[in-house]
Amino acid sequence: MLEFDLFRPQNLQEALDLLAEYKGSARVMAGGTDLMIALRAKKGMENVKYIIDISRLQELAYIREGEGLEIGPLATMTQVAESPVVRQCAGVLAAAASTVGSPQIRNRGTIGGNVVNAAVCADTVAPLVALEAKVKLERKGGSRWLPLDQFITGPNRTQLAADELMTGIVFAKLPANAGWGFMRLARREALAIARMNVAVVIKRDSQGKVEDASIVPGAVLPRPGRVTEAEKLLIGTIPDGALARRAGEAVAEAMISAAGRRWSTPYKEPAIIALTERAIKQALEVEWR
Amino acid sequence: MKKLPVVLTVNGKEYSLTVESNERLLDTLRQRLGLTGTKEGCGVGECGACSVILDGNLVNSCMVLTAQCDGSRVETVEGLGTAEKLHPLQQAFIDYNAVQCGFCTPGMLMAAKALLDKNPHPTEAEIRQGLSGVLCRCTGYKQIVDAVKAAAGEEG
Amino acid sequence: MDTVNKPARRVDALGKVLGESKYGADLQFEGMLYGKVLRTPYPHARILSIDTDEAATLPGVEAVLTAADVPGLHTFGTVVPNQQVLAKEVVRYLGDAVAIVAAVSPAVAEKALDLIKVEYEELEAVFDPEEAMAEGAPVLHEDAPGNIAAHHVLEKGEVEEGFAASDIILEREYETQLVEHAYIEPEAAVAVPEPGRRGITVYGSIQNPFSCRKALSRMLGFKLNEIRVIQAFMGGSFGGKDEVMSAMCARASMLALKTGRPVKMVNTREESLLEGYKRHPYKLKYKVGATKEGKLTAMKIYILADAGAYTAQTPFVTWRSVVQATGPYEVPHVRTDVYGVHTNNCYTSAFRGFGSPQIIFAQESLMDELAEELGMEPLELRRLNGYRQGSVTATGQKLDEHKVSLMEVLDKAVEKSDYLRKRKEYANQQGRFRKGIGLACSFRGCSLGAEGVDATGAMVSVQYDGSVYVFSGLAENGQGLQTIFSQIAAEELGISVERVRFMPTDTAAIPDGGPTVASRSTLMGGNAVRIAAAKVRETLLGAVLGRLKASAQELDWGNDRIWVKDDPSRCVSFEEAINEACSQGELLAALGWYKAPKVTWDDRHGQGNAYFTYVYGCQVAEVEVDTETGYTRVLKVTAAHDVGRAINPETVRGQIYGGVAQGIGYALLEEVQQHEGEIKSLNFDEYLIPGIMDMPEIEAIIVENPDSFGPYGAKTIGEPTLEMTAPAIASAVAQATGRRVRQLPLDLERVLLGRSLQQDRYKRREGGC
Repeated sequence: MLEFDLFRPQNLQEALDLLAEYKGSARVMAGGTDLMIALRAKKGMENVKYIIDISRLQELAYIREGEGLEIGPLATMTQVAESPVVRQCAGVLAAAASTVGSPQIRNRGTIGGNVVNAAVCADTVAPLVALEAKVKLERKGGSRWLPLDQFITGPNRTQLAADELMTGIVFAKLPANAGWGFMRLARREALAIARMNVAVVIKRDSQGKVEDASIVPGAVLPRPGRVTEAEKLLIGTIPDGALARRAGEAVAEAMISAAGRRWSTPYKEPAIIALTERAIKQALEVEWR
Repeated sequence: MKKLPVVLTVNGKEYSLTVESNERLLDTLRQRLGLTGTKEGCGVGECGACSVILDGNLVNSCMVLTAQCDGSRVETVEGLGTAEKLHPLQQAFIDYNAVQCGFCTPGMLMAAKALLDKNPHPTEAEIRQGLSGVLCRCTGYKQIVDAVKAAAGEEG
Repeated sequence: MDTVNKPARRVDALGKVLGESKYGADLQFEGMLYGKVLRTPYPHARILSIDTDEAATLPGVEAVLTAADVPGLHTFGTVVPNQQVLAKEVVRYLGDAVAIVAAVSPAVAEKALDLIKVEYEELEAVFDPEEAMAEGAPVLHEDAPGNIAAHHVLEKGEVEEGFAASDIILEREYETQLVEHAYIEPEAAVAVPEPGRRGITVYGSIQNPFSCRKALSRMLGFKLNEIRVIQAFMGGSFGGKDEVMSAMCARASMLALKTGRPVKMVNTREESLLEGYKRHPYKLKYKVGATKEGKLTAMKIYILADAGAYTAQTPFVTWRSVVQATGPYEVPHVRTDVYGVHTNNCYTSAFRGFGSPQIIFAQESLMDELAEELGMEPLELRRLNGYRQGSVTATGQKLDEHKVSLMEVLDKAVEKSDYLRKRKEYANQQGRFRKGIGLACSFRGCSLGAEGVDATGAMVSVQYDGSVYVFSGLAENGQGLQTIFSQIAAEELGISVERVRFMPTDTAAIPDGGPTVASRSTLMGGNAVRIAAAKVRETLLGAVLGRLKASAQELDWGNDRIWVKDDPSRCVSFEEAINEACSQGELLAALGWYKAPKVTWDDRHGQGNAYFTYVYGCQVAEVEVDTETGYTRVLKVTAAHDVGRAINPETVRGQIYGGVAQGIGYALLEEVQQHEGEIKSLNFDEYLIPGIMDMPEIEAIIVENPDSFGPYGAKTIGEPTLEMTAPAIASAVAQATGRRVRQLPLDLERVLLGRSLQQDRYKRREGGC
């Protein structure tokens, strides 16, 4: 276990003050489900001397309806998965949160931690990008908003500055004409990191024609984002299974063009096609099995 | 390393401690308080042998710093029951042969308790979901599920 | 029977559900220090120098030791003592230890490790068994030319004649993976020096206390009676806490003797995966001949097992393979070669199954492949060739001293699983999700067989107040041995199990009864307990003859009483009988010793009566495969096992459920990723074992054909439960997908693509997922 000094700020302001003071030599601990592993392994912690524990800052643990849906970064995966409002207005996110790790991990792990850690396989990132979420970053004396897909710049890399803290995640509630799909592939049923996942949100008009679509794969692209080539295929159509598959193929093409053909491509290519097709069908509320 | 004061209520008993910044709740329980019923199997939140109930929620005590728990309530296997008055889950684990090597047993019991505290009449799928954060290498889990089912029936 | 053959509650369950039972890492002693190990960063290297000065002066460090400080010999091993407790000149795998530290806390000990400076000269390493056997390969051990750790041959008939007489010949290659025991408790031990005289007491997660004591004696230079090994509660073992524990206990003992203080050592999960031995990966080439009617005519088998850096139990593991490699089928002409080969990989040794899961995966997959070629139902092929009463095995053993129940377990598993109907139903499926059903069966030699001396002891000691101690040389590893032995003692004494207290296995309390391995406990140890308890009972009966005015033959016992058969009103209680015996000065304790019946073995031709009895089992697995992702779910496993007699049906079922779970892991999930000797899967986030949501319904069918040698007819259950799950699943997947996978595990890639991508990953040096 790494040796460090722990700070326990009592409120957000104290946390931001500490961050301003210690910047690069400090790390923020929320639920700790990722950070504790890194601290134990002493990996990537070369300059870390301080840990700022924000896990008790209740002011950051909210889930509330405002203009859209506002989720505090300290909302745990359990809270997100079980929240009636999230289930109703952003079911794709609740579904994703419910698949993370185990009850123990979900009770501790937070949505903010999942986002800030920015693992390629982070389960809540794809749905949040599909929901066009923005994140609020605060520092002592200032704050800014960034769209989530810009906030994350690569595997485990974000635009979060050393003195910044994520303090909010906001996105529009899904309207009544929106359907969603979330598919996840892992090696076993629980306690398994996603090999790949995909989040889909589809809005249709009263005739069933697709007005808008978000298709966001996880652990597929170097940084999370919508695959507009796939979305375009659906927009303006009443999609059938073949089209859903074509959209899946477009996601696979996007993967290969972004990352090249890697060791895992022979597997990931057919698998992401299938997952995307299924998530689209799920969003359209048609049988996908 | 900075030392920090912590007040913990463990199994109903209050402890005022001064702990190292990097001390895990698991180590505090096992080493400071001698509550060795909570086990360490992996140290990375995968096996669930260290599961305890923290302020009503099931957590891996290897993934929590003690200093994060100031003012918290912790329940461990030692607080579940006594030889004279076993908790229904403990009795069911004995009755249904749900114990083999016993190393996962405390974690399983705490996971089951956390589940039944919130959902006194779970379905089998809910039981499996509720216990899914604890690995067992001996039993194949069947007799554990049977035991939790039986205990839930009894409690209800 | 009052107690035996009944589902008694486990006698060790109470302490475990209370969280009070003490496992190795739970033990505390006054003044205790903590030990840590420095391991090599190179898989094959010469040690040029070790500088421990700086580490030794770190505040809180009490001792730093290297191979130069080993009081006795620095090597140990059951068969060939070439394993190093601390590497002396050469390190041979990445788990090899070069130095150990004792300090006031684990954190200080770890810091001290960073201060030890070791200079190495890297040596050419070899990681592939075939390459290791080739000319010019680096030789790991001088006394093992060609890196051959073991070679077993079996010749029956004239194999080429057999092939000449066949209508069809099939050649197939199979491969199994490196597998971790994954007991949830990592290894732990505490060594406590004995005050006032030379001696050491070691507590810990020690599967085989006597093997450990022997190794310690060699390494510490102590007499056996100066070493006391006491088993702590065991958090699982499955064959895995033997050599690795001998090394840990020796290191803790050296530090304890050096400092004069108790020393505790506990492995992290990463250390456990890094240093601990695993199940051998096998490469298997099978050539089988058959007539067009499906009668087997010949089988030629060539197997390479990766032994890794040290011999450990490779000669025994591969010996079981050679005996059982043809499966439970009559084959007139057989030639088998099994090699265990040294490499600079992690060493391999005992793991539940012990050389059987690998060969059964290959040979049962092969039977299904042959059946398909012949256009036969796989079940029919097995019925046509499977062992029956009086069949002769590949080793030339005539199976006539026990009930050969292969057909019975096949029939029961097939019937309960509805195998034939489902097999037809799943034959033609469309859609993304497809089901399949497959079966596999096995025969398994019980206990050690011709591997070595096979005898064990137990002591039963009745106290004045009617309470009873049972001491056993065999050990509780979680499997339920305490309960079984307590039931047997209670049955023989005619008392309730509650009166019996099983004592921790302690090398100072009981003669060396060999290791707790080979599913031999119930059979061997059960007999020893039975003998001991019966001796005490005879004493008690003898003591009350006068009082009951009857001869011993006229007495019966049970329910805590002894009575005259013809006149039950003439009776005494257990306590009264004890009083009577004590007043007569009789000894109410007895040692029971059971020697296994004779077995024979001709090493040159691989012929003989390899084991004195066998068990038979059949498992049927039903799966559903996602044909677009390769994700495979097991829907149901039906497991029929002949156990001879179930001493405790509930614990037998527990063994079956648990074994099937390990079999499912072996089939679908588990593979220790190792590249150039480096283990990549160092914790349970990478090494996946089945969780509670991965487990299907398991139907356990206990078949009882009492064995003439077993206590109450009981034989064996621990190991057979996992050895046939993987081939049953592989055949079910083959039915579902139309493609057979011949490598384990059947993970996502292998099921979808037919091959693993991991080697490409290492070749291309790419990370990520």
